[in-house]
Formats: sequence, structure tokens, C-alpha cells
Amino acid sequence: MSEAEAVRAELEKRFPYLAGAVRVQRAKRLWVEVDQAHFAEVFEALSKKLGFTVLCTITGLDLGADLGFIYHLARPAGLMANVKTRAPKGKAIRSVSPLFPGGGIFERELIDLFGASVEGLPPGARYPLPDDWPEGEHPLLKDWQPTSAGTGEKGADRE
Amino acid sequence: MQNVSNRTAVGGGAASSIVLPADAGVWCACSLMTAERTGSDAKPVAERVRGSSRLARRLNIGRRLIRWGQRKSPWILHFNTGACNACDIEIIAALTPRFDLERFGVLLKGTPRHCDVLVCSGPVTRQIRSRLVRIYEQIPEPKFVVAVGSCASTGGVCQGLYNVLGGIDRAIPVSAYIPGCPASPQAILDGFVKLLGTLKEGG
Amino acid sequence: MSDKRKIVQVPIGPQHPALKEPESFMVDLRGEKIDAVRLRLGYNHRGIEKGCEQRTYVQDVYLVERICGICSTSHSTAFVQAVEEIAALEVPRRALYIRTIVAELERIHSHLLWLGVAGHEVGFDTLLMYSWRDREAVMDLLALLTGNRVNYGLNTIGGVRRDITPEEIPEILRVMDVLEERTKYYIKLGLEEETLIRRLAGVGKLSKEDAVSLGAVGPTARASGVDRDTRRDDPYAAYGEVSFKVVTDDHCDVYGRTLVRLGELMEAYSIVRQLVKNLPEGPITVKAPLRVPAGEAVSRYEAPRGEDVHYVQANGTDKPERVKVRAPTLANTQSVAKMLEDGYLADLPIVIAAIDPCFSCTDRTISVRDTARGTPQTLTWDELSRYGIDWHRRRGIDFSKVVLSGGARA
Repeated sequence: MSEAEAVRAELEKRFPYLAGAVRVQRAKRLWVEVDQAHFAEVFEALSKKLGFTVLCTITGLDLGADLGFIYHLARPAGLMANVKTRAPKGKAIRSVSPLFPGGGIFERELIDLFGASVEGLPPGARYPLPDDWPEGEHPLLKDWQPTSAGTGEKGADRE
Repeated sequence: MQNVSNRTAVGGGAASSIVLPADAGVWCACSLMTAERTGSDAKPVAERVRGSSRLARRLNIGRRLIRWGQRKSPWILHFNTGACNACDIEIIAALTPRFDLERFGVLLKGTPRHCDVLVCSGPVTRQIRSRLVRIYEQIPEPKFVVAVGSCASTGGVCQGLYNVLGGIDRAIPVSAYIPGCPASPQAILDGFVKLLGTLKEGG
Repeated sequence: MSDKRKIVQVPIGPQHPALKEPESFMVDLRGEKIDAVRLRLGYNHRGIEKGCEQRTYVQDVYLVERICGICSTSHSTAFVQAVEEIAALEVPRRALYIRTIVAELERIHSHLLWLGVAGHEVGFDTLLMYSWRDREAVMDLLALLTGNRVNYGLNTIGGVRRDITPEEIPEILRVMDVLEERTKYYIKLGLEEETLIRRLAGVGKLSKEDAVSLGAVGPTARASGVDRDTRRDDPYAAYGEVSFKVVTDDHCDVYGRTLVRLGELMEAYSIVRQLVKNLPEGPITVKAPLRVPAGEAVSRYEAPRGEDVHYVQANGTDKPERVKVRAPTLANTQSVAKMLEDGYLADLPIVIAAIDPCFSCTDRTISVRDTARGTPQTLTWDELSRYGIDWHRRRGIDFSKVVLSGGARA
């Protein structure tokens, strides 16, 4: 059994509700889909018990009524477990910075670019948008247009 | 040492650049534009115009001396307004022994107060814009701005991205454009030589 | 006993000659020592991820390449790898080899660049001039192979756009020989030049535990003994077919980071020679579909600064649904605050330079604000750099007394 298959078997054993939700894409790539209610325990198991001690990044997705989040975890030796979850827009998710102190910056990106709401983040500057970015404008949402924030259009900011 | 006029195809970038003539009228107008644009700490328009022409009459010799100094040894300030860094590295490379911008008397300085030419790269991100304008204002007259690279000239590959203005001239007046992605050190040298040439004419 | 010295906040304006990128750190000082550092990132944010969704895959190859002008092929390769995985394309072996050759050449140019910048930061400008002059050899080689010194335009979905001709091969090997000699000299300098060691050792300390918990990557992590390298752990391109050492070091400081990069240079010459010797025949590209079928993939790449992660989601059209880029420097800046803690202000420029920050990959800002006696004062990066150089000069570290030997002309 390959390393990835072994992890899948272990996950399905610990969390029977994950049956069918763990996919081995190739030797070094696992995908796990879990709902918000069970996310914390699966994430903790992967990072603390199954050796996925590296958080590469967190990807945000605009899924219409929901926001999608992919937590790209990895073992130091290379196997990746990409954990997908989703939450309705406006609903807060818990920060993973207690487990991954370096991960706060990825969550700040989600806040700025998607309007995600993250609880438990330590105080810090916003990232990556500028200080004078208008409130409520989240560029990576699918229905957001550049002109609504003024930049991107030819001659827009030249008085 | 590399002969600047010997334009080899190494690097693939065209060793060419466009320099707009920089004369007093343009500077005054540009200064006025900057003042109006940035508002609060700028002097009233009429006062600035009156002031500079009176100064110009009184300090004609001084003006020529300044111009001679700039022509013989223009000091530059390098500023990245949100570029990918390729042009910036090529600017620094232009100062290293192979291309040696310093033989034209060009010195890289660390503060706007000491420089004659502001060398900018990058398409001007929203966050950096006010800093760019502030730095431009801190440079004493007469001053020049060189936009290095496609992004600095027109926005380049960053045109249409939501956080960029699309070129240095959307924030401050530009005296010279050096295209390229990135602008090769040969092109940068060529641009500087042309800029210094116009200084001589305007002198 | 309370420390009665005031807290001084020293800002470095976003304009700085050192790394040529707008940056802003907020540093709190107690006397000479750094108390705390706050980062403000964002000056280089351009909106590329959104731009990728609005452009086709082929256009994105060129856009993504310009995320960073030093590690441009890193981003371009990471991106095409993800798309090729989604489209289930079998990229020809020759193309993989060519990608890897250019990848290692990029690592060479990047590390030599870093060496010069580090030299400049400590006041050793001669090292800057020497290493950048040597670097011109690999820049010329890259221009010969790809047509440009930077932003090579090498990749396309399904392979590479330019082949390596038999005439170019001797030139590649010649440059590797020349640079290997020069690098051996720099290693000797790093191991023997007392002035350099005194300036770099003990500075910017980052323990192995902190490197892991803060997510450091690349030479920054490897200099703290963290044995991670994507080329070996998650092989891509042709790395599965070459043998190389992953260079780690236990110094956990800037000196360690210097040694790791010099070691990686030596490994890079060896890798390029192996690739050139075993370059397979065959096509350099396969046909790629205009519309990529729905799917997603994560691609990882060991850029000169560390692990670069690209996530691409396709939706069956000719434009991607989502492109996410996590550049290595974003992972490393989290460690910088830790490295600067309890260090001297004079060492700030070299500590920041030691993570080899590529802020355009990550877009950050560093500002150190000086509010001595309550009056705010702005120092530029250059002034802070000068301050650091002078501070150390008063303590006996003076690079103007160091004489370098010229070495072979590149």
C-alpha cells in the first residue's frame, strides 16, 4: 500500500464519515473533503497525529453562496494532504494559527481578498490590500469588477 | 568594457529608448501639476510660477552650474513602485563593472534630497502611489524621472490588474521611458546617455 | 529592574536602495537592541491572481512569470506543471530536462545575486561587484539559451518553446567550469575571511524549532538544520533523474544561510552537467488543449528562495477558475520577526537580506521608524544600512581592508 493509500485508510478508520471523501490523485497528492462541523478534528489529526506538520498555504474559493477553503498540508518528506471545506459567506471560521503560527498571514489574505471572517487571529496588519482600499470590496470574489475600486482602468487615478 | 553604442542582440531586448525634451517650461508645468494633485502642502499656483521665474533670472549662472553638475554627474535615486524586480536588478546590474553606469558619473544615492534623477520601475501599485509622489516632491528642482521597463512605461503585463495604476506617468511626470521586459542594462545605459544629451541641449 | 531606555521606532521608507523593493517593517528598539518587529506587507500587490482568471492559460504563463523577476521560471514552471497535471499531459523528457537546466541556471544567477546583495548590506561592495560580474556569465548563458536575461518565456503548456542546440552545450559546460572556480573562491572567502564571518555569524538566529513552526522554507530553513527540499521530497521536472545533495547547515544564522547558498551553487553546477550529459532526444512539446478540462492540481517547486506552491483549478474553459500562488518569501517573512528579536539594529539590513526576500513574489513593506525622544524621524534603508556598517566598523569590522583576488574573467 502506498504512503498516500495508507493515510487514506487511516483517515477513514478514525473518521468513518470520511468514507468516499478522501481521494488519492497521485503518489504525493491526497484530497480530503470535510464539512465545517468536522473540520477541526480532521485538521488536528492530520497535523498533530499523522505527521502533516507543514502548512503550505490556504486557498480561498468563491463558490457562490459559500466560500471554499483549501488547507494545503504536507509531510516534511513530501506527501500533501489538501483539505477542502466550505462555509457560507459571512459565517466565521476558526483560525489555524494556534497550530500553525506562520499560517495567520494566509488567513489575512482570505479576509482581504474574499471577505472571509476568521476568529482567533492574533492582531496584525492587513494583507495584501492597501490601507486606503474601500471597505467591503473583495477583489477575488467572482462578481467583483476592477473599476468599482478605481484602479485598473486607464487614466482612472490621474487627476 | 562594454561599448554602449555597440548594440548587440544579447538579451534580446531592444537597446533603444525614448526621451522627451526636458525644458524649464515642462518642469514648471509638471511641478504645478504635482502641486495641484497632491494639494495640502503645495504652494499656491501663482506664487510658484512667479517665484521660479524670478529665481531663474537672478540665478542664471547658478542654473547653468547646476545643469553642468547634473550633466556631468547625475545622481540617481532608484525606486520600485511594485515591479516584479527584474528591471530593478537590471538597473543595479547597469551599475556593476560590466556595464558601468558610473563612468557617466551616475551615482546611486539613498535619499531623494541628494538626487537629480528618479529612476522608477514598476506599474505603481495603489499602496505605493502616495509614497512615490512624496518622494518626487522631496527631490529638489530641477529633477528628472526615468521610467524603466514596460510596466513603468505603460503598465506592461500588469495593465488591467486591479491594484495598479498602470505606469509611472499616471502619478508623476516622466522625462524618459526605457522600454523592455525587463529593460536590459544596455537599454538603460542608452536611455541615460540620451537623457544626458538632452540636458546638454537644454543647458 | 525596568529598562528605562525609551522604545524607539525606526522606519525605513518603502524606498530603499538595498533590495530595490518597497518594504515596510515597524521596529521597536530599546537602545541598540530590537524589541519587536511588526510587518506591513502589500506594496507590491498587483492583483495577479485575479488577472490570471481573466486571461487564458497561455497568457497566464507570461503573466505568472512576471510575478518575480529573479525567480521567473520558478513561477512559470510551477504554473504549467499544475495545468499539465489537470490536463493529464505527458510532457516529453527532453522538455523536462531543458526546464531543469534553466531552473538550475536560475538558481545560480539568483544565489550569486544574493551574495552580492549580502556583501553590499554589510559594506563589502567589492564582493557585490565581483559576484555580479561573475553572474554576468550565467546571464549571458540564459540569454543564449532562452533569448532573454530574465523572464525567459521558456515554458508553454505541454513543454518548452526553445530547444538546446548541440552548439550551445559546450558553452553551458564552459560557464559551469568558470563559475565553479569562482564559487570555490567565494566559499574559501566565506570560510576564511575573518571580517565576513564576524559580521555574519551569530546574527539573525533562528532555531530549528522556530524555523519549523513558523513555516520557513528554502535556504533560510536549511541553514537551521531543517532538511527539506522540494526537488528531493516532491520531485518535479527532471529532478527524479539526477543525483544531488540537499545542503543543510546547523549554524542557524546568517552565516549558515550564506554557506547553504554557496553549497547549493556547487550542487547546481553538478546538476547542470549531469542533465547536459544525459539530455534525451525527442520532441520538446506536446499539444495542449485550448480548453483545459475541469479539475485541480497543486504544483510545488523549489525556487532559489524556497518552496513555491501553485494551485490551479480549471473549469473546462480556456481560462482558469482559480490560480493561487504562495511564493517562498511569504513563508519566510514570518520568521524574520523572530530572527530580529533581541538583535542589534545595526544587523537588521543583513538579517532581512539573508532570507533573500523577493518581495514582488510576496509584496511586503519594511519601515523602521525612529522616534528618539518622542520626535519621529525617518531613516531610509540606505541610512540604516550605513548605520549598521559604521556601527560594526567602530567594533573592528572594516571591509575596506579586505582585498579580493580577481579570478578568471567570466
